[in-house]
Amino acid sequence: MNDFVSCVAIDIINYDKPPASLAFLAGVCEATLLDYQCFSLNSEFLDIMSMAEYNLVYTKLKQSAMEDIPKPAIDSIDRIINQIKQCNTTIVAVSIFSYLQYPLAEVFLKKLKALLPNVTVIAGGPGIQANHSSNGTIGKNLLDHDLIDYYCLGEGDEALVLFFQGNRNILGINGKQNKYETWVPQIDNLDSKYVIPSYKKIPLKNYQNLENKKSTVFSLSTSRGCVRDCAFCDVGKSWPKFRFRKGSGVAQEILQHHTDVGATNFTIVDSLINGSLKSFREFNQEMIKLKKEYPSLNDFSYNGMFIVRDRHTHNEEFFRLMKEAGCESLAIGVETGSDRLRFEMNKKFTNQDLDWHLEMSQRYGIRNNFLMFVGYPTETADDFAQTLSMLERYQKYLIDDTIIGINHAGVFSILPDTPVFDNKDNIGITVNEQFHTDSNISKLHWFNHNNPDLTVKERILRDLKFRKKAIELRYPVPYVERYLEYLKHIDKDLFVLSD
Amino acid sequence: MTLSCQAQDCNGFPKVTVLLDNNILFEADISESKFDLSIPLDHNTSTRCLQLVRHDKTDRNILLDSNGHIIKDQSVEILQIKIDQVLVPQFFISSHCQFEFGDQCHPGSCFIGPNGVWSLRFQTPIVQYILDQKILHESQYNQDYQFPWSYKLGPDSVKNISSKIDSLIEKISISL
Repeated sequence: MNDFVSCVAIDIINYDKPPASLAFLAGVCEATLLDYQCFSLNSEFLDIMSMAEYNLVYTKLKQSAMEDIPKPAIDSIDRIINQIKQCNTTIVAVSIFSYLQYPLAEVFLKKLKALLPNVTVIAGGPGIQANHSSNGTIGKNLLDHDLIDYYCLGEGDEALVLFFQGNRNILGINGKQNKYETWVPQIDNLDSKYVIPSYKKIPLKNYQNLENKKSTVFSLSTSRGCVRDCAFCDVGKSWPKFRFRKGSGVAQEILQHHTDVGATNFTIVDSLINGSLKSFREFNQEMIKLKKEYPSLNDFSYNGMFIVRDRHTHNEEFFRLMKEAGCESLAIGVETGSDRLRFEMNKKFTNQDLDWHLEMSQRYGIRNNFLMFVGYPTETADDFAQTLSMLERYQKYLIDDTIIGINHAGVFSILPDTPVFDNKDNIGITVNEQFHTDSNISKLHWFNHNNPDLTVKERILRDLKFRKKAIELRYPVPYVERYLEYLKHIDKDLFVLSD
Repeated sequence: MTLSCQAQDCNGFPKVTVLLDNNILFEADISESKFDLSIPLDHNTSTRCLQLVRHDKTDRNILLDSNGHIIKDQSVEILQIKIDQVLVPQFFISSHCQFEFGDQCHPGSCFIGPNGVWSLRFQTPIVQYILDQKILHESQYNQDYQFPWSYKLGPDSVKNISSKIDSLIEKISISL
């Protein structure tokens, strides 16, 4: 008998696009010719909850306080598990988006294992790879508590295909038989191993993209890793080498999704879409050709995270090509209005480069979302003032949507495996690890002795002042209400302030 | 603020006086068909009125054929308005300008044919004012506002969110 796979995404994060993780799992099922079904908890919750109920679940998750999880969420989980049972599922593949999802994953997996103890459960995703406690990864913890049978650490493209084909002895797929945790070796040649995701069986109706386009926005991966080494980011440790797909292969994947589900709008979910200038140019050129060949692709658009560079590297022709190919909007990691601070973060671009970027974006009708946060450990009052001043300087770009909003991550939170964490002693940062009493999830609290004015209170106040200034200047800040709801419940001893 | 204009020559270019809040700023020096008018604006909070007064057009500036049809007419048209290189949306111009001549008033018109006064009423700081008008306009015509998670600001968002933030600032200032 062939296996039947139920793919589940535990992904209460944003709801601007269907989960790429689920599409990936579906792609693996199709590559191995297994029948399957898909569930996204986000979509299921949005189906039955009011926005207030949903925001409350989100808040509870951020506080790791799932003991009083609202009843509609429990009902929803029960319904999913019943559907898994009804389909005679033999394998449940669970993707956990981040460590913040752990408490909900635990609730789901306990119920799943209680009802279907003989089903093989394999879990993966960044949430599985995160540290749980001194006892290793969240994956190991779930395995030790018999809530899963296997977990995948690292890229699943090749490993999961082998697993679904019946192999169990695979580097990076960890089970009870493994004495030590292993990781999937990083794939060097993405084009040779990449699994094409599938959206054919993913419920799409609850995903409302932020730009309110008529059709759903789909995720697309063109590279892994990053060419930068931003001080606050752990991508460099997870994926030490930057790898990218050929532009022509990416264009063919777009055509496939267009054929499968009529997709025309895409978000490139890479750390940055222009890491390889050669591949990015090729992708744009290929899309221009495809649009001519397939008129139904005329509405094709893409957006993604983008690194700002100087005017010589990103000349006017570069912006023109992007626009002609279908570039609609870019998320740019501006982070701060202070050149000094941005260079400390290793971002390697100046306000002058940003001026050029916005001028060109304005000329070619490319929209921009600013990615920002406040309270980097070395941020001074003057740096913060420069950030507020930058908002004033660029306010004019809201008029014609050259800037469409600010994705504000809130207050800086320090992560292990980031350059700033590794350099904490040199900077003067003390980090205290604290474990949540119920979930045992680790939270990191920090204080910079060389910047003593940046207390917890000051960080939160800067965050709120930033939000207020942005709103007063009419910058849209998505999910602000949800974040304010969360802030109402914060406790100075227990909070993760990054959104 | 920069007004990009187009003029039609007919026995000379049109004569236009530019006024802001009833004060003469300058006499436009129109000697080419395409020209820009730069209007200095301060950021003081105030209601403003920009006026282009078209004057001294005579019968000499209209050419008629033997049937009395106009074959050439001296005129001015405002093609677009920019604030610091950023294009002001058409809805804003249409809803805030008018052209008055004789006993007629043409709201939303940017074409200045006869002698008369074209005016644009707005508030400064103008960027903020345009953005507020944009929010109102989009809330009326754009479905974004039916979604609570929309990235757009609604007509009441600024006040509501600001007041929530103020109460949080107060709470945090006291409690932490």
